[in-house]
Amino acid sequence: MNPTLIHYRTLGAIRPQFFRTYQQNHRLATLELVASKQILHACIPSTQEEDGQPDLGSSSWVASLAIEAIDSRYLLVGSGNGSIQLYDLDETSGEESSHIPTNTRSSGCQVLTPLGDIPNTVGHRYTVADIHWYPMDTGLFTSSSYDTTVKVWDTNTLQTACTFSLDHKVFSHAHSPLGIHSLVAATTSEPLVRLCDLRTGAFSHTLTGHNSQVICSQWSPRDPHLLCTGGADGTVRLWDVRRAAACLRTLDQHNQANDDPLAPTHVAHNASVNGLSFTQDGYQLVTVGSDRRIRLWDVTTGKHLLVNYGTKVPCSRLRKYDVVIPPLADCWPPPVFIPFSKTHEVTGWDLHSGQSLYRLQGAFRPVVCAAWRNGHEELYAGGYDQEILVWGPESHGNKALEEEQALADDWSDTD
Amino acid sequence: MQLLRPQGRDTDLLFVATEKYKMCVLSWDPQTNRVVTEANGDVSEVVGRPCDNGQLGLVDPQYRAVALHLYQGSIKIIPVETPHSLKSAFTNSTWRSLTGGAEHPYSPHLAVTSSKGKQPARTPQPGDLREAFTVRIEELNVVSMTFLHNTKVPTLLVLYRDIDHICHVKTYEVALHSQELTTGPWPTYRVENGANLLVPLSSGAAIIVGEASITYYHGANDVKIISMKPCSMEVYGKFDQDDSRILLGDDEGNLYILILLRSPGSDVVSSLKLQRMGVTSIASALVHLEHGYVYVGSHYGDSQLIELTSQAVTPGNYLKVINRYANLAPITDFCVVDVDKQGQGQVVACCGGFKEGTLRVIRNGIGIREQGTLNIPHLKRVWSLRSNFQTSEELLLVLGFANGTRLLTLNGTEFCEPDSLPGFALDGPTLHVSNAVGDGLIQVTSSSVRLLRLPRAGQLAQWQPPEPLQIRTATSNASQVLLGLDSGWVVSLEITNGQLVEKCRRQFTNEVSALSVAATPSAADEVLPVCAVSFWSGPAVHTLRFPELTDVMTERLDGNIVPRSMALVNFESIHYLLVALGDGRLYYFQCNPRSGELKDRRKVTLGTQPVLLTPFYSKHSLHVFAACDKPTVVSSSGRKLHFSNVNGPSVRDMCSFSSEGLPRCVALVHDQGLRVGTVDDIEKLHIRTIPLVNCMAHRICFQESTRVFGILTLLVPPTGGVGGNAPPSGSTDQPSVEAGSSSTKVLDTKGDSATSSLNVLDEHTFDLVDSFMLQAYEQAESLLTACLGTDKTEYFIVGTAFVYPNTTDTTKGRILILRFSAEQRKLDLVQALEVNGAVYSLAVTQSHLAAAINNRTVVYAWQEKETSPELVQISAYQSHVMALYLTTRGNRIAVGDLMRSIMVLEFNPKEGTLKELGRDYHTNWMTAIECLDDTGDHYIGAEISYNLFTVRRPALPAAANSTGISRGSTVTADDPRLETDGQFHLGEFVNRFRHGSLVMNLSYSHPVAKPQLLFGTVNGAIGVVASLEADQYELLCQVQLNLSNIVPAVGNLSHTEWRAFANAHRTVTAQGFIDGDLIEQFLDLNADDMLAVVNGAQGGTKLNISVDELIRLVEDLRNLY
Repeated sequence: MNPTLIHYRTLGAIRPQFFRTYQQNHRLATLELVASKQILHACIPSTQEEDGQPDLGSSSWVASLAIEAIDSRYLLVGSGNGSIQLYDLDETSGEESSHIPTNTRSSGCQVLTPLGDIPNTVGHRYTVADIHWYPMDTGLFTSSSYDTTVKVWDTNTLQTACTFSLDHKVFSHAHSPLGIHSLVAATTSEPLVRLCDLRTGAFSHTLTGHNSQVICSQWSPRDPHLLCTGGADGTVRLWDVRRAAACLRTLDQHNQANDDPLAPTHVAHNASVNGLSFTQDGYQLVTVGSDRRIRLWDVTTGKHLLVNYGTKVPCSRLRKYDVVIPPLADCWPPPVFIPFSKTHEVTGWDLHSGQSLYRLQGAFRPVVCAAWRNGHEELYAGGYDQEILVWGPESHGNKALEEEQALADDWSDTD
Repeated sequence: MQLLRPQGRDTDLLFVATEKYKMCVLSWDPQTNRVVTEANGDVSEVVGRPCDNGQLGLVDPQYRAVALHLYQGSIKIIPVETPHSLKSAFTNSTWRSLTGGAEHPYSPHLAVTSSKGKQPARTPQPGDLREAFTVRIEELNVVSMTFLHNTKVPTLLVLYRDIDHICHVKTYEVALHSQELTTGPWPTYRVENGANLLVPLSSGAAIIVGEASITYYHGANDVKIISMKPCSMEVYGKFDQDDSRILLGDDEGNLYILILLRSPGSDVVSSLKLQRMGVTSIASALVHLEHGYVYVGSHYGDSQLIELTSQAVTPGNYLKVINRYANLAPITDFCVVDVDKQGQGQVVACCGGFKEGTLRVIRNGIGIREQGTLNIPHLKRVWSLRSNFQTSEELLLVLGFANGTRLLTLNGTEFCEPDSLPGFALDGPTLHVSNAVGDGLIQVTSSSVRLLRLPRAGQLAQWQPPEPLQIRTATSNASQVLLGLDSGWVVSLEITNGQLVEKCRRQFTNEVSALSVAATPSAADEVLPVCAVSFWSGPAVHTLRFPELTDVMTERLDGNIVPRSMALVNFESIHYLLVALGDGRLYYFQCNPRSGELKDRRKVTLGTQPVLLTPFYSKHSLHVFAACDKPTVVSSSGRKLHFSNVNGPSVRDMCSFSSEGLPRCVALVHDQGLRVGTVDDIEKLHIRTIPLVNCMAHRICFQESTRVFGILTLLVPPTGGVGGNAPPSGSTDQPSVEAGSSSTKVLDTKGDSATSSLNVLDEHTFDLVDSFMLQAYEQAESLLTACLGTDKTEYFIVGTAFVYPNTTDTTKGRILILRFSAEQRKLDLVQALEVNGAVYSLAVTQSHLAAAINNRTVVYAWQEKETSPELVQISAYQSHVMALYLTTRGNRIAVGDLMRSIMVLEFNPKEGTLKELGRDYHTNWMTAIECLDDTGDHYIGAEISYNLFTVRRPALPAAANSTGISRGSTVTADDPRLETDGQFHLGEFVNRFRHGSLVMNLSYSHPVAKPQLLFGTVNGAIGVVASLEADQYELLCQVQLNLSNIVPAVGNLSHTEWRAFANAHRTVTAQGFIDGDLIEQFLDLNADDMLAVVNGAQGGTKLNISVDELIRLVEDLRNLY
């Protein structure tokens, strides 16, 4: 934190945007576990298992996380046994936070307790694989689960408003952040993408094109009718939901100059596509697949941008992986965070250069899901641990105070 | 902003794109003298990251397209109609519509054909804008962009930096029909890494300016490079039509000319030469007017008009400064000082940056716009005469000299001697002249009082004092004459029936020094039965009854200087007696008009010389002009007197001189003669500049007890390098980079080893009294003057930070306590406390010192130890990221954070604890903070995206959110959230809020608004924040809405949208704030429009008050500053 920069800002010598980008990058360079916040996902302790994978449905591990984008305040946690919890991230009740009088040491730490809880008797019966806030209003959220349903909840009463039954295991669902339409795209273990309409409570239509299970989906933040899905057949498809022949293009990792955008030789990953995310401006797309690769694509042309993220991508299971790209207002150039269960850490790469930037460690058990808190530069991740871990920029004061305490002389003068 | 002149139009049009992503095309209609909006639209996109380097807007030199680079990775192209495209448009019967995935299309307000082929509502003309389209570019870090000249298709040249921070230039061709970018004619070319400026030449080439070299680029085959001394060019200006010379300005104020040498007889550029011309203000814009006159527009200092000469004015300097235009930007800090304790403050601001650092004193003042001067030496007095008592036009000027009198009259616009006035004594000095009732004129000389009949009728009556007494002082009004004679005699005369009748004479012990009867500068004023006299014996004022001359009251004044001039005037139905002394002090009393009793004495210091008071009328209200070395106008508003400085040299005497040819004029007598000018509105800001040599000030405060200013300054080395003239550097024909031939090194000391110091300046002259230098690498960050603990001495407290080169974090700083002794005029260091962080802000709470150190707020107590008192840390509190700004009220401390908005703490001195009371959870990057009320519950903050917002501690349990989750019963009155109750987009980057006001304290019983805060911004704006009552706020909200419907907006830009609070995370309509500038425009409307506003025409709502009431309300608001 350079005082000269602040001085130049008051002179008008550097633009406020430049100042902000510089500060954010400076802070993001030092992501570490935030010790002052603890979110205990307190429930039944998990039963022991041999290979590190608990039985689905019998314990309370964190399966999905969502933080709403309007106030960046409320966190939804979908857990492995079908229950859902709601937390207020700004809550300061509980143990008092870091007020530090001299000569006494209190390791201030907030413990957050859930605002609301939907037990699995009321909610889903199996793992809540995906959970999302309705982008326009925090009064609504949706959750999809391996119990083949997508449920729409009212936040204030924590009751189900509507249920969509899909008859197949639902891997993921997605809302369009633009709010032009209220279609929810749900991807299941059949090779179909089902569109559910929140306004009517009925299914709108179905997109065909994939050859096997469709694992991940996301709407474009720029175009309200563009949807992207990735499937176990290794293809990533771009759909325009208004068209009859909806599939626009299949992404090809080899960038073959082929006239037909839907040629069957186009394959994005050599194995299943496990996760995908658009950048916030909707121009680029990141996909991660079981062929242990991460790929960056240009959305307008569909070209593979050939950025090398390395080969140490421990992605293997047939489930959705969260790909978290912080919004562009928070940092530039953005990093890409993907939690990996094998290595118990969240790894981060620079989006444009592919350089590995972060290896966020701290979890004792596999890490399954992650979410970014807009505006606060915090990354939340959860997995088989009892805790949801928070990483944030290094807090200088802590270090300085710890030094002070360490050097403080507690000996009495009379000795 | 860019100019565009489409074919077929003979004047330029102005294309404007705003920060909030709106655009408009404007033209000027000379007949109506108004700006006409030709087209407007919205160019924002829903998602997209704004460019780091700012918006770029370009117009094709052949006016075929406009390109806007607003968001990273995309360029918006707006095609412009040309006759060529019109021809082709009529052959295609359909307009191009946007392809799928349309963002918000901008649509010009001209109707266009629909695709169904109906008749167009208006025939498209050249210059009209068509629908815009967006194209992607891969380059994400665009440094600069320009259209090339002389191309068949609009061609863009893009200068960008890639991931490895290497700069390249690339060309794109804009295909308007297919709405895409195709590769341009020239390949990608790598340029110097510091390149930041692109200059397009009319030949179709371009100049790329970097930090150590300048490249001439015309395709890959035609590249010429010269090297130059390392400097950072910021701006260019075209000099010649054929672009053989280009002006360049760098960031230190050096001005250069780049000369393109062509081989004789051809157009091919053979080489480049860079010539340094001299030093100007640090340029932000350079415009060549003609014949070598260049306007240098500067953000950091005064703008200048310079003339470039071919001969060196001084060695190495080829330019002359013709004119300077004052500029307050950037205001980094200011303080409000009330030197005269009249409640009217003046602002002393640290303005300017780098080498343009100045201090500016800003106060309300009056300007006199000169109409003419007459060179008349030895002129002492001036009076004006009307042709009869009833009119308000002055016709004659009477000039008083030491040994004679002259008359002047205005003939059209020329002054000339009038025909003689029979009976008027011209051969000796005149003591007093004024109009009397009914066509009369009184002239008092030392030997007689004459009553003349105007205009020509000659003398009516005369009165002479008894021998051997002579008249020494005199005053008169419509019907009363009061004379002071030798030996203490005072005589009162009355004018009745055309006769001068002596009423009374009385002898006092001493001679009269000044006397006054009720002033009647116009026919409407009445005469009073009281008068006032003062004597040479001592400083006292006596009121007497007129004409009996019996004592009523005596008031003693301080000091031993005698009153020299008095005036009995009636301001707003309150009668005042103004008494001006010989040392520049002015006392004023309220005077009972019937009895003559005085009460409520006040004092004001005007200058240092004797003052002469003259009542006069300006704009139908009475003012009193105090002529002295600091001329002042006394006026009354809100039943309180205002004193406004007149900017100008010292004035000996003054009279009003309005006539048909010169309305609202006054005539002033000064050393060289007579100056006639029109008086500006009485509220105008007057700026005095104190330049700082070789340093720039960034913090200022005023110490009351010792009457000195303290400023924190940063040394700035002089421009031009060490060693005088720099020989013109590098001119070579080889296309390779050669080391510069110049040997002088340029010191780059901006920040690294700059020396910082605390300077103490005298309160009136601003001379340096003493200074305290800080250590190497130590930068002073904050300054405060306060009394600490039980100590009565006022200390200067400086917070510093050690900034070492190549480190980004500050972990060391100091708090310095200094005492300035007024007697010895020296600064002493009392204590230096080392802290581990940068001290960004200091404040005092309940005799303790609060400091914002890195991300902690620490409170210190000033405790007495054995040898001397010192600071002891009591308590600390950690805020989120970086505590940058502090403000205190009572026991509350509000901390403005770098990005976490405001947090309120409470300090308990007995227990020594800091407790957090509340916090605002929005992500607001703060730039300034201040407390609004006395209880410490209401704060105002300014934010980095040019917004203002206010937060308040909620008194009741927080209401549920209107959407989303309701907190319901879990909320208690201790809810730590601060409620945001006001949001507003100011459009300025605020650096500082301070309590204070530039106008006198108005103690209304029902004030419209109470001025609370002044703020200073980076662009040099000073503004006022005033608080309103709730019902006034509601009314003004309506007025604002109605006004925005009626007042024509330039570019049809919506006022509500402009004022909506908008930052990177959220956009909210403005609430809790009223835009005072818009409300003031109500007074500029004509009567019909005013009625329309009150009736709520064009979509507004009808207001409950009449037009007159609203006019009065707005005029009251105008008095806030």
